Amino acid sequence: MTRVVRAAVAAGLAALPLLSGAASVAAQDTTETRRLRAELAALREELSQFQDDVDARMTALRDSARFAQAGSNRFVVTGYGVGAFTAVRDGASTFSSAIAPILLWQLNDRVLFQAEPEFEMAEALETNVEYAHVSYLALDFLTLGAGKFLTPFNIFSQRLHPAWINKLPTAPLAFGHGGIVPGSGVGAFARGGVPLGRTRLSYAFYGINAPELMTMGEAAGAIEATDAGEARAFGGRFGLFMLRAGLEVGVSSQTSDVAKLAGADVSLSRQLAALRGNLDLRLEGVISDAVDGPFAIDTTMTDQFFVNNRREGGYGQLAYRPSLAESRVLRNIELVGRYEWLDRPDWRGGEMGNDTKRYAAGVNVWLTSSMQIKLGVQRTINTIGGNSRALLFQTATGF
Amino acid sequence: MRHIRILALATTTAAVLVAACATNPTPSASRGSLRTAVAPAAASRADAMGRAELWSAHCARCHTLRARTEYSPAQWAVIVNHMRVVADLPGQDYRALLEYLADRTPDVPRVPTKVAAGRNATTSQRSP
Repeated sequence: MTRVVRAAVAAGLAALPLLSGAASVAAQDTTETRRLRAELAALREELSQFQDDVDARMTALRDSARFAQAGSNRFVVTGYGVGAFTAVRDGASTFSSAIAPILLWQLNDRVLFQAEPEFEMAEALETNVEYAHVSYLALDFLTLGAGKFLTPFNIFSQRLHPAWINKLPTAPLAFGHGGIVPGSGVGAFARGGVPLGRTRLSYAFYGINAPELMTMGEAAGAIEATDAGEARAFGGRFGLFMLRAGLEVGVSSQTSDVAKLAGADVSLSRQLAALRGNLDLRLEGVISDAVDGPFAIDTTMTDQFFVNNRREGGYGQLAYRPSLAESRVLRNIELVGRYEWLDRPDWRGGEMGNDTKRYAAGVNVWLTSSMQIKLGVQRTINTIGGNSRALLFQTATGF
Repeated sequence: MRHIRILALATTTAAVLVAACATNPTPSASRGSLRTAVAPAAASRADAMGRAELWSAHCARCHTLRARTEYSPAQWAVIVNHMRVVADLPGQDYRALLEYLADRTPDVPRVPTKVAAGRNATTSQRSP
């Protein structure tokens, strides 16, 4: 019996450590389980918050997508604004400003309405509609349009006239108001471009209300654009643009009952590593041969006369911008020079026969890709009416 | 006629100048506001020219290059349509420009390598 008791006591003593170990393991398991459960709960909570966050973001995204979703027609407003100061030596100094919003309304992939009303403020508010027409993309190489449009005669009027593009504050004499080139007209056009390898052939044909020749009074001999004339003028332009060279050449022509016009344009705009910058060269010339008369200064047409009614004008403009220079300041400065002329017929009885030459030079500071500050000087030489010098300042912003 | 002769002379001079300075700049080589930060996309080319190069060539005909981010792709679609009429763009160039303006990937700033590596390391630590 004693042996049995001893054996039982011994066995009990031997099992004691095992029992305490089992109890310890069980306690550890409980702690680990609790920790894991707590971690799981935290993760669930985090996942829930994350899910809520994703749901909220998705809802916001859907809402914004719903508002941003484009309809079948689209309306965009771009354009440009101008602030200017002109000081003429021994003459008047003037502040002026203008805004020209360009309204683009694309009804579908083929139909586009575009208009550019212009509001200019100097001594008084002047308003004008530069163009307002609808165009239809008929084929890859053909666009048809009707309304008032910038005539595709040479390139200044239709492409370079916006102040944020024009490198000087003034327009060339032959292309501005009172010049030779018809800036815009009311009628219809067919135009387009055809790819020829790395060259693009562009063409444009148009028919507009013909300009009117003033035959009497102080303005006798002047050719006035009219938006409601009975006669028609027809014209067009062919151009070749070499993509890699950045060189474009074009010829233009327009004919009407009162005048025939012929024009040529050359433009080169490219970056030249040898010059560490961008070179921009524009050359345009135009000849106008109008009806020779009869004209009369007095409105009764009693003292009639004839003249060789031929006009000629054009300009050459060169601009350089060191866009590859190391200096950031230098990269945004552009130097520009322009020579232009406008020869009028020898006229009897007034300033109609004045020939003009004009030299202009300027420095432009580009603040952004579409905003520049222009500072220029201009010297005008007239055969009649004296010469003049002017200081030009302009800020122009495209938007 | 004297002026016309001057114009013809200037044109010839310009042609000679171009020939003499003939280089083949790409838009990515330009700087300042002319920089477009673009790389020609090999996938879609018009007459072996990249869309970026096409964009640069057509815009620079008249004005400086505007940033692609200045307008949304939907707005660009209308503006390029306007330009198609004004500058007589052929249909294939028009479509290539639309694709170029709709794809804004090159304009997204790249994550610096160190930051990207750090992010990956963090991610891999958290991953099982």
